[in-house]
Amino acid sequence: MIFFFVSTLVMYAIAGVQYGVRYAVKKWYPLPTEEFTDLCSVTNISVMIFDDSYGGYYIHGRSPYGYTEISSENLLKSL
Amino acid sequence: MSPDDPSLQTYQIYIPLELFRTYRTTYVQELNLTVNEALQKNQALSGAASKFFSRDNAIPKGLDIDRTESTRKIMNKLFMRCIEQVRAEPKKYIKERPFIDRLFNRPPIDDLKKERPVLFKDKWYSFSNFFLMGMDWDFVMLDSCILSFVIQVSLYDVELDIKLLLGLLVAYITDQGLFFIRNWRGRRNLARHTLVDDKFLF
Repeated sequence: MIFFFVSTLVMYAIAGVQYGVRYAVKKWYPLPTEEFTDLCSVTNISVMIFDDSYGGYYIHGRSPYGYTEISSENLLKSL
Repeated sequence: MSPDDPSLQTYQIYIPLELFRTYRTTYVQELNLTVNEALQKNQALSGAASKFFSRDNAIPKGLDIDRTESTRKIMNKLFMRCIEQVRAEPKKYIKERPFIDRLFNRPPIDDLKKERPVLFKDKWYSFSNFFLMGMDWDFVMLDSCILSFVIQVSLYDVELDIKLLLGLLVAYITDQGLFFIRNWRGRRNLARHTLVDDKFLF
């Protein structure tokens, strides 16, 4: 019993550290979810995902410029 | 969209019940009918097990998607109107979700009864749960259980010196197998629900 507790604690600690590191470096290596929302912005597409009988999730993918075709410089600025 | 957090793009949304009912009874029903007809034409495999292991395309061949186009456009406009309503008065419709509601995943009943949309800020990208990406802690618990199980079982073998390594190996192999199934089934599921061929998913 004590072994299970200790091993679980150690594994959760390792996972927690991994999570922390991943979030610390996300500025340079964005999370896939962030990349997806950026992609929605760039393409000017909003997404609605319904996962139950009342609602779900909404990704507001409106491009900051209102249209998709902008210069790379402006695109980089807006991201 | 939110004035106090302009860069926030992700929200949890609850749309008016009437709109949701319209969506279910018109668009989803019509879409299901079209997909089922295409499936029947292709004489798809009927058994659940054979469907699970099927290597056919997730979208049935010969799907006449144009049939649903007019309904799709109408629903798209209704949803856009709903979002424009929120954009016009964000302070009224965008809210912070109470802790208890978040804990029990309780919908905002009062607002839904008044037939108005509600958006909750979702700073932690909880939509990723829908893509089966939020199961990290479940996998850690599974690994821990496998590790303990293997060590308990191997305790009977006194000569075995690599109990911990064996447990880790079994946990690793199980994880990899589950990742493969999740990836494979997830792609097919996504393709079937978005009606985008899984060759275009990356």
